[in-house]
Amino acid sequence: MGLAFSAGCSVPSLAQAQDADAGKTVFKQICSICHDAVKDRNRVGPSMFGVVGRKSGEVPGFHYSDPNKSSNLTWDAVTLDKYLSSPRTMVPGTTMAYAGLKDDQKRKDLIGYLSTLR
Amino acid sequence: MNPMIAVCSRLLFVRVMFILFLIAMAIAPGAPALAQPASIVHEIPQSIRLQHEENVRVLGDLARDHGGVGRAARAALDLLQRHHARENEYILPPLTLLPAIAAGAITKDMSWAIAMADKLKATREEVFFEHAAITEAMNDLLNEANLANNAAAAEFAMGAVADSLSDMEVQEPAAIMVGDAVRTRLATQ
Repeated sequence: MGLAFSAGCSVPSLAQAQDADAGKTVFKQICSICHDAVKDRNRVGPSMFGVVGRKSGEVPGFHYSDPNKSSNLTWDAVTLDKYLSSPRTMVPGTTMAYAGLKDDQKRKDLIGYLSTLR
Repeated sequence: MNPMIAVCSRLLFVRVMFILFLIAMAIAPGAPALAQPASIVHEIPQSIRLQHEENVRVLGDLARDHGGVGRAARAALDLLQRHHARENEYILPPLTLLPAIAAGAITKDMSWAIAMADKLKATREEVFFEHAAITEAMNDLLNEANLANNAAAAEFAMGAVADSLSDMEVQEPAAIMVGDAVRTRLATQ
């Protein structure tokens, strides 16, 4: 697990350190109150199924904040790492009520898990 | 006269004179500062008040648990009550004007909403991070609820997170719009 970013990822060291199983635990503990991992199942936040490689603000049936819609981001290891560390810094005005995941390892693991959701 | 009685009489006289002075100032023309309290407490919409009371009641019940659910609920309750205090101070009162504004009636006595909306604009980042802290606390409550197989606590935690999003998506922008609408209309009157 955790090798999903090894091809085409601009930060190989990030991919090497990922543990998707640990990331699944992080997702359950921190993200799952707002996000589902199942396709098309939106909650307070959009479904995280297929998030890696997706453009920001594009989950069908989810109403995004304007700042999120217009952020013009593509979610990959780099953008997710930056966003998850401080969502409001990267996308000012986002309504994702989360201050940020400051633990580097947990963030890498989480991104590793998200990459498996496809 | 007993010196003690003399001192008490003098104190009583001073108090009576002070109260008479306050009454005189309050009824005198051109004395609005004493005619009304320095800070008027404005109402909030009744529907939201009821919702807040219910949330505090449920969370208060969960807080009595002796395990992890109780610990998480107590932390969440503290955050939620502080957030409610802020909302009651200047976020929610402007929303009581919505029915009148929707009916096309904006009057000078609504001008207090302008200052509240401006304060909300100035503190939106603080308010956002308050929501983030509440979400984190509810997340903790959800995790503890799942460990304890407490479905009611889990449901409450998820509902509270949805409430936070509703605050950010609807209530706070609406409060700002009320203040701006009052400002704009009064400026043209």
